[in-house]
Amino acid sequence: MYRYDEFDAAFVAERVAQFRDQVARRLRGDLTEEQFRPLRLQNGVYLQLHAYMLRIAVPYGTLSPRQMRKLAHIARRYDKGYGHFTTRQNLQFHWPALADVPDILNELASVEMHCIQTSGNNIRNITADQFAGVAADEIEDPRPYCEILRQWSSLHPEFSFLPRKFKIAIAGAPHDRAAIQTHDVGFHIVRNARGEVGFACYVGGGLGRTPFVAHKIRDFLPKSDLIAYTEAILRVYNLEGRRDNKFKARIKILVHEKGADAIRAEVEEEFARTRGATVSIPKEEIDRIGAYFALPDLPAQPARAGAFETRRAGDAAFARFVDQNVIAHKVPGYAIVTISLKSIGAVPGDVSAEQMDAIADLAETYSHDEIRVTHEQNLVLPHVALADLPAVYDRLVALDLATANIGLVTDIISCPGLDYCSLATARSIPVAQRISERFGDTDRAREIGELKINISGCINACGHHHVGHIGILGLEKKGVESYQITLGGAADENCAIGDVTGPGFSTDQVVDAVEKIVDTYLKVRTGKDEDFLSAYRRVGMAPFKEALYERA
Amino acid sequence: MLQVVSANRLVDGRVVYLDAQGNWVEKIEAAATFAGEAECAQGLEKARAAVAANLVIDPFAVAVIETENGRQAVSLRDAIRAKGPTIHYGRAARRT
Ligand code: SF4
Repeated sequence: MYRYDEFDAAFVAERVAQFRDQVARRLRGDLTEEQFRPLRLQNGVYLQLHAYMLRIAVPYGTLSPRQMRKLAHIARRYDKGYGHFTTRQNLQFHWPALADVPDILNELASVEMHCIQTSGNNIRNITADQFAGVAADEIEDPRPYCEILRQWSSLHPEFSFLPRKFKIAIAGAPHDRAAIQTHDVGFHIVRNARGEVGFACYVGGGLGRTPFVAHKIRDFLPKSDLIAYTEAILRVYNLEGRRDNKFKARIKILVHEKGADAIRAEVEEEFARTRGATVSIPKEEIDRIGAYFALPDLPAQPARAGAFETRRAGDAAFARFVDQNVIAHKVPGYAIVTISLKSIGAVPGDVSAEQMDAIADLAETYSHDEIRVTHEQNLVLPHVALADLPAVYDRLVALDLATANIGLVTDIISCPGLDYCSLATARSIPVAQRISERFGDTDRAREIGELKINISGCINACGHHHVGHIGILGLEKKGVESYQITLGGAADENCAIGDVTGPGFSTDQVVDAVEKIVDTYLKVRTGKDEDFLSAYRRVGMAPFKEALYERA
Repeated sequence: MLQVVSANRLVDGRVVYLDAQGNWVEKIEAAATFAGEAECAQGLEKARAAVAANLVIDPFAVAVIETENGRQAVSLRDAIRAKGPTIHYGRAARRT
């Protein structure tokens, strides 16, 4: 994985020292809250309902065991013994004291981590496919390009005060696991007719108050032009984005108002003007950064491992885990293991310090020192030898991290909602927990098959509800929680915004409503191989609506 | 409506309430109550002084009712601020 060079290390250390001074001045009263707020936000410190919250960037979702142990240490020493992984592949601590944050940042810097640009109107942490570099279907690893953009965009003077925040994601395989079409800019690594690898470019996606699927504005961008083209998009946005209205300030509104063709023309014009003058990434630099992400030296393994096959044949629970949470690695004899942070009834994305330490041990022993964070709030051990799978599984079972539910109805994305978030209009975590308990780790859940439920506690949509196969949005109606349901959303290469079913449901009704939707799906599907989304796309809203509102 | 004045403590962000002595305390039960708008305005005035003194941030009035089970904030948001998350978290969340 990427290692800081002297410049990176000095840069982060300087920022920590700067923030330490700013916090001291704030606590002494030399800075007012109005003066201090933008400074703390630039360092990832928010104020939530009960305490400050610190958001730590996990660039492109890749973590080392050393970093994970440091997060565990911070959780124990400065927080309440746990952390929360988010849909931005970041980690949030919900209880740090402001006075401790400089020390926390110092601890993070010692393992090459920081909180820079996890807030504010700048280019945020760049996300990627969690299976980057290991997926069997991948064209190329997106992380070197994320890292190149990260270095370019960190404290970029021209783009530090954009009209609004700006999120970029890169996917490296035809199957988009990074939800790139829901981002301000998405790059999809593709191969053109001549066999060259480059990027298809998407712009103007986003969820929140006004959700839009991104428009593709370019079919193929050569790799060396990645910075120049991103710069062209940001220039157009920086000049024309709606600074007059916070709710219209994201690039998706600009794209929507002017039209994708007009934006494409402007971006291409700016790109043509600056191309050559601005940074063209030399191949040597791409190779130099790429080398940090090279596949580790994986000792040859038999494509079929005896111990693994035997256990799989004789242990139904292990077999289920393998079916649901394990996928093929591009190197035969190895597997990619997804660790579910969604055990039945748990808080999606939460992980205790003890679990973090244990996952770090597992990664060290069995996964060549690598851990990944998924935007669906799970963790991944990317390089596990098939022969080691039984041992990894047994350890995960002991840690309550082996629920075999990846992609199932209980693998729910949920934002923190009103239990923590000062912007929330309703709780989301308890709804996720109740749905999880309703379906459980059961044959029924497996019979239902792939079904993504996403829950947000307000229209800001951090829980990506618009792109859930079933989306749940928590609102407040006359002082009580009310949940609006959408159906048919998708975050992958066939990205779609879900359709609202109709009037919302009370907190007492919402789990029953989800169950009715699931039962209706089971009734209308042609067979088990027609998953929820395909069935919905075929039959439409009518049967679901009928089931949900039959007495109305 | 009965109100109390709440804020977040500057140094650690924790939820605090203004008590009758002008101190900031963590328990909503210990907060000073204000019966009318005029009274509450006085409380908020004290809170603004505490903001200026860099003790607390973002003060506001919280509507409360006294019940058999003690004092409760009227809105769900304020109730969650007063009692903490409605879910088990951290160590408590671990199933044994
Ligand atoms: S969606 Fe709303 S409630 Fe949920 S984390 Fe985002 S801002 Fe908070």
